[in-house]
Amino acid sequence: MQRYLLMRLGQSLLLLFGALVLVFWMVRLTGDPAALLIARDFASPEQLQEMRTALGLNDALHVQFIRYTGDVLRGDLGYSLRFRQPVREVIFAALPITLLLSTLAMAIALTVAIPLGVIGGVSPGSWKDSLARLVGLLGQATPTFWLALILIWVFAVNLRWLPSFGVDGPHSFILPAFALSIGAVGQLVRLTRSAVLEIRNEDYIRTARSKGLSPFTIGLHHIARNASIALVSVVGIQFTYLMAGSIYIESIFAIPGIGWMLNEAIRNRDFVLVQSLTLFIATFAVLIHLATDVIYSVLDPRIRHR
Amino acid sequence: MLQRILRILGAMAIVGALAACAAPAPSPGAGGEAVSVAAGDAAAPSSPSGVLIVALPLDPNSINPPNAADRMAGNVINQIFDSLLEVDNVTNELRPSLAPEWTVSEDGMEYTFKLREGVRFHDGSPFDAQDVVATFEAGKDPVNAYASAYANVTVEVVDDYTVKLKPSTPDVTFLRSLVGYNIISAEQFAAEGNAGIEVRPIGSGPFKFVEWSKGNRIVLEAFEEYWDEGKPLVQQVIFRPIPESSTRLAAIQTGEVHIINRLSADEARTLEGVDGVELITYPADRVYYIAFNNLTTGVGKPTEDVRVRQAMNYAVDRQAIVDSLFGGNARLSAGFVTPWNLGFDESLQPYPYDPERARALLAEAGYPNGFTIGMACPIGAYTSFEDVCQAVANYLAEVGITLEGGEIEFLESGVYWDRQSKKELPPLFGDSWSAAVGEALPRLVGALGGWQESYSAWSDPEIDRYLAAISSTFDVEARAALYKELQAYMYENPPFIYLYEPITFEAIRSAVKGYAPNSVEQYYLKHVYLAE
Repeated sequence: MQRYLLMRLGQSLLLLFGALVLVFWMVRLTGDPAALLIARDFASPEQLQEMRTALGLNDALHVQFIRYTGDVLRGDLGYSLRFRQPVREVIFAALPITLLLSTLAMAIALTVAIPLGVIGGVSPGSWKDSLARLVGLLGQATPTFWLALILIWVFAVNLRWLPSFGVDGPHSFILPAFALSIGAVGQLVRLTRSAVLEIRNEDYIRTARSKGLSPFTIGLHHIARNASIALVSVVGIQFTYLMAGSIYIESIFAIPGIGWMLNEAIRNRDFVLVQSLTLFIATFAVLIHLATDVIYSVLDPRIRHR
Repeated sequence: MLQRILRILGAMAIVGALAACAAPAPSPGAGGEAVSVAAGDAAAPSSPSGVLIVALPLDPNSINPPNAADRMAGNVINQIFDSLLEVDNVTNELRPSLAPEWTVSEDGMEYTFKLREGVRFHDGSPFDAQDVVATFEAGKDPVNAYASAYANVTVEVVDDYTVKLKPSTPDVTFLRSLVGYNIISAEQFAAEGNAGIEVRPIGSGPFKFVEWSKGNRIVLEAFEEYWDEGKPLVQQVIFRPIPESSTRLAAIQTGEVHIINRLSADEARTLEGVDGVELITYPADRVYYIAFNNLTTGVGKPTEDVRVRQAMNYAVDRQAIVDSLFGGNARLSAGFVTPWNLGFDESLQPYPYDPERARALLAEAGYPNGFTIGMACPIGAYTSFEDVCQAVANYLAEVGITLEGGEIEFLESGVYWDRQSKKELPPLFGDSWSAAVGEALPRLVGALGGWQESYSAWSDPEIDRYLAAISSTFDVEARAALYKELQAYMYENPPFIYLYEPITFEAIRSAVKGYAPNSVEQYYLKHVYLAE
């Protein structure tokens, strides 16, 4: 178990270093940050040069890279040019909003998907199953940004029930969370349904049934427990997808979370913020995957003994 | 493992795609040209009342004046701070603000201002000459993005309410540019420095700063002791950044915001006939063009021949481009001076679409079968500009001018401007240029100033002579006459394929009265009120 976790940890660190290298170089492919920080119609060549020197952009790229890696290892994510604040402060101001939004979306997804998936799985071929399959398909096929605009049009513009943008209270999160959850709903319905479908044909279910256990006990102790193994791994991955989806959703709904911030950083060529934010999101994703693996191995002894 | 790496690569691709959508920040500074104003039909309130909510297409980078890198930041700042002078957005004339009187020395190197007495800042401190000193002192701190604009001005205190400003180089647009220098409180600067102004700006303007929740809202409150009697007219102004234009369209329809801007013609059309919403349109002071190069990549190319450049201007059907891509919502350009600029020559007509004439001119220049030349355009910088470039290339192909490599070199805008500043773009390249001081001079110098200007790819001794003359002629009438002559010269000797000046679309709730943005999207909200 310990050896397994250590190995996973090593892999994760390697992955993060890879992300660091990629982000650093890709950000620098998009052009001169100094030229974009000062409006072209207004800046003189001297101003541009001053800016480059001040930002350390005149040093050789490998020097910049080593400096950046050193800073990151010391926990210093740099200074955001756009927000004129340390990146760490900027991220921690936006993180709670994105976590709230993603968690809400996940809650919606689980609440809708698990019952629907179980109902579909236990009675394959029924109309309930058809409904589950339809929701699964539509959920996965619907683009979140499209759904977001439709939701705004229906619930904000036409019905006037909910705000179309911004953060003005709990009700501001309802439309964004629904729009964000749609992909997760789709995948979780399908997954729950197929897991239940598979398990209900297993020998031990037949045994349980022949022992005379009630359908409820079978459902809870045998089907649900085993289906949850499949779900746990996907829920973790889905959570990272939700964080990524927030890039669109937060921009559409004007919600100042991590996704909005990444968009803002990219638009303003705040390369320090782009690289640190991407690294932060990558770290977050890796941690979730690591946590998933741990939970997975607790739920399924076969994995930790492998 | 591989799957995970792929997933990260996928995320990076999204990052890359978003980067391609980056838009350039418009230049800051003062400006202003008259535009049509929705005249108030309801009486203005006698005391400030109501909450005015203004949507911004982006969150300002800063609301400390010397750091404001985009127009939206400038628009928030203009409500909190005053300048020595302001521009009347309707008549386009300079108006006193904190300086009721001023005189300019013969040589244009000394500007003496009488300062308004009895003005107070939001923190209660009185306004005097020391605040003007502090403004330039704070501005030139190198932490600020536009420090050098402040460093070029020396302030001399004559007495408590008289100052002399001396620009380091003669600048005919200096007076006008002062509209963009917002006066800060010397007391605040002494106590808190630029860092303090950054988080809690204190001005003497019609609205005082209350709160900025980044990415969500900026709240301003009416300043009761504002010197301009009877202003402002609303109790609170709230700016709400909404980056997505579809969401802005929704928010104006629901009434969640009162003013939205940066709409495309198509988006504006969807608001036609919507109850409680009015459209505002005005031409922008921004010229789109395809530039020629005679400094680096264009040396020895056919485009050095004036007949070829004229031919290329005749070859392009501007009207068709504007009709098909912008629904006709743009003004065709005949030069680099717009109707909002000093000395605009309205007698000049845009080059007509005349491919026969173009072919004849090309034949005369010795290219009866055309030639091949390189062309580049930026991606994601301007509305539909990629399509405009493609259309221009097709028109050029019709008269035999084909592109090197068979296609336009499209470059992501950051890379594009970087290469433009190094004069590495091909001999034909597309771009646009705004002007914010009511004159075309910055645009002309920037794009045609020869080697010393970083974004210029063209040098013409005759144009240089005109620009030098304009830059040293402080008499406005004489300067206007020089602009007229230069336009005629640049029409016959085009350094660009002139294209168009776009029309700007905004929308307001019908209750909003007195809102008058100028051609560079600037506005003063102290005149605005809500009729209920």
